[in-house]
Amino acid sequence: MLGEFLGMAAGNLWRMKLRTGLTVAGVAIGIGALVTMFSFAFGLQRNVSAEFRELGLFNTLHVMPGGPSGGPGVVVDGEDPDDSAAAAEVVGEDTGGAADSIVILDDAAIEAIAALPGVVHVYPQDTFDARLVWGSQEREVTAQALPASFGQKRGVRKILAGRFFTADSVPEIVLSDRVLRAWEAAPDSIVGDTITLQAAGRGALVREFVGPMLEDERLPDELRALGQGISEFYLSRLGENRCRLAVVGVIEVERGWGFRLHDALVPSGIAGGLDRLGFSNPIELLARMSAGAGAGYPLAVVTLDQRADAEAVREAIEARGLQVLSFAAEFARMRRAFLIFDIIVGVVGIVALAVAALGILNTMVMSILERVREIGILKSLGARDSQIRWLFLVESGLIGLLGSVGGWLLGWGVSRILSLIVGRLLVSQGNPPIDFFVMTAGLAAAAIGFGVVVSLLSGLLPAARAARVDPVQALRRE
Amino acid sequence: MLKAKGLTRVYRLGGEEIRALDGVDFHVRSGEHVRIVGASGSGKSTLLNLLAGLDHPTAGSIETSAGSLTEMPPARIAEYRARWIGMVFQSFNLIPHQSALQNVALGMLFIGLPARERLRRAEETLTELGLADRLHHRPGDLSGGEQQRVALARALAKRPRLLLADEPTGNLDQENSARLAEWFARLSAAGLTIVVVTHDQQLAQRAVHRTLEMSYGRIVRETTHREVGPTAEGRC
Repeated sequence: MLGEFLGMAAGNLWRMKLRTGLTVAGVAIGIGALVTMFSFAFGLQRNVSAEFRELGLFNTLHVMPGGPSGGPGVVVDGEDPDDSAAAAEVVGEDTGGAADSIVILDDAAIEAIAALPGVVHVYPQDTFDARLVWGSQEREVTAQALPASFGQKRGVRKILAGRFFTADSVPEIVLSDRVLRAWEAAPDSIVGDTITLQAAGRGALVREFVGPMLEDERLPDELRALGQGISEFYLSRLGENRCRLAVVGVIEVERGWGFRLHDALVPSGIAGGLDRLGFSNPIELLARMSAGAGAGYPLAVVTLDQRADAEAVREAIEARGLQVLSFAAEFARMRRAFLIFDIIVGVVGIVALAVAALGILNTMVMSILERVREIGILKSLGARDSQIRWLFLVESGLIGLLGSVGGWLLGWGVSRILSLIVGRLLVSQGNPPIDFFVMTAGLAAAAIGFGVVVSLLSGLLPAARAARVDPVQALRRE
Repeated sequence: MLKAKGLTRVYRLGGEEIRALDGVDFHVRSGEHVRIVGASGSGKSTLLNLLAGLDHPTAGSIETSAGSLTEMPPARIAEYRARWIGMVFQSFNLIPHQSALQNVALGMLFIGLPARERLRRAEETLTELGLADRLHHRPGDLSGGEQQRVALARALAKRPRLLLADEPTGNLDQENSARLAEWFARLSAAGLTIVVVTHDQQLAQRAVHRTLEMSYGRIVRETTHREVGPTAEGRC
């Protein structure tokens, strides 16, 4: 019987082509808007989630020094900042710090964190400004000191050529593809070559700024001699700020959402021996200043085992007075924001669909008014009220199905076009192309199903009205 | 076959009560051909609608071989109408956008016959009624007589037990009326139970067993022309 009704409904809709077409178009626009917006919302979530997963951030914690009111932890207020043994000792205990104490993040603290159950490894965020020299090519970069164990970390960027350095004190360097692009060189062409890394160190600062001042002839000779003596003494205590390093690998750093590696990755042992400034931007400088001059790192990255209880590790680190940023927790917060975004998107789409539903209601009411006599005939032939109701519901459902399929195609087309435009825009600005829209079979099925259900709901009232038609009155109608 | 007792139908129009049927007692035997006559507004069509289950009596009862029509739920009344009743109307009541074949096949949709069987029976019945070359014509392309034959084919194709006709020749010329009268006579002779509301003398004089005359919602006269034959009795 449903097949018969489908045939009859299709025939009735076909006879009223213009009206049907306009109503179907209304549904298609509503569903199309809904599909496009949800596709964007899902795409955004997918991209962020994929990036988190790719970078291994779901099992990554960022640890920062504890603030002056950081609570219990390493109490170094008034202590020698270089006394890392003392700091390590305190990191291992919950001593209950003073409200204005500073909890530093130094090597001892990092070792204590590394000893926590579930922690795979910890490395400090240790960056500095440097100049790379390769033959006649030069480039200013931000260099990053990393332990060799970072190479085994899940989520390390794709290695385009060569390998990661294998020990903390080997004179090796890994460069980013960005540097190679700037030098217009292929990744393979540099692996094996030796380059010079010149860090922006304290010695360079002295030579750059103090040197010219001491050469000022207006200064009294005694003062100038004293200044030069102090400078030389200071410089003699500093190490070299340059070293020759073998390029062992090139990694890809372009893709990403902000959790990027820097352009030159240097073994931590090598970087530790260089005369260099311990910051490469004002934020890091402020972090250093808040942690105490020269005392510890502004940030350490903690990688957890997949099965580790991230919350327990976080609590254990926080109990030591350090600040922890958990990406998994941040992502959970982001998911809540995404949910709100989805709801807003859904409401906007539903408003469009509600307008389409009114169109269906209008079309069906008109159709019934025009076909009262036909309903009477069907009843005289033995049609039950429920069958009349179904006949009209099938009609509205068919409008919904056509409109929903059309709407999905429309949404798909719009999202592809927008994706193409945005992709080209990103590429033109030197960014990798990102597909901001996700079109899944589930979204298609949900959109079509939702459109059909809304159409059936719109058809309920007219169908009930059709079922109530009095056959005697209907057959008398001309 | 069919027995009505104390059948009353009251309409309310603008606060005024109109008694279309007023305590009608009435019966139809299987194979009987009954003619109902009377002035306009005498209640003939109302009686026919009640017998078809299209309308509900205000009071009284209708007993049929399928059960009490007045006690059946609406879905069973619809089924009774689908399986037992064939109806022919003065204004044909064909669906204008369907062909003759589709209109006739539609008459069997609600008895659950498969589409192929419906089309086979529809074609067969239309051919019997002389419309083999009009199968795919729409009602608008047919003459009044042809349309009424399509309507008759629609009523007969499902093989009903009771044919109800409301002024079937009302919109036909004399020649087509005579042809339709001939068909009713044949159907009656074949034993089909027929109740026809008509003013048409040709239709009235052919093969009618009884004539009931109605006035102001009551049966005021009953004339028996001939008895129902044993062959006809045996059919239903």
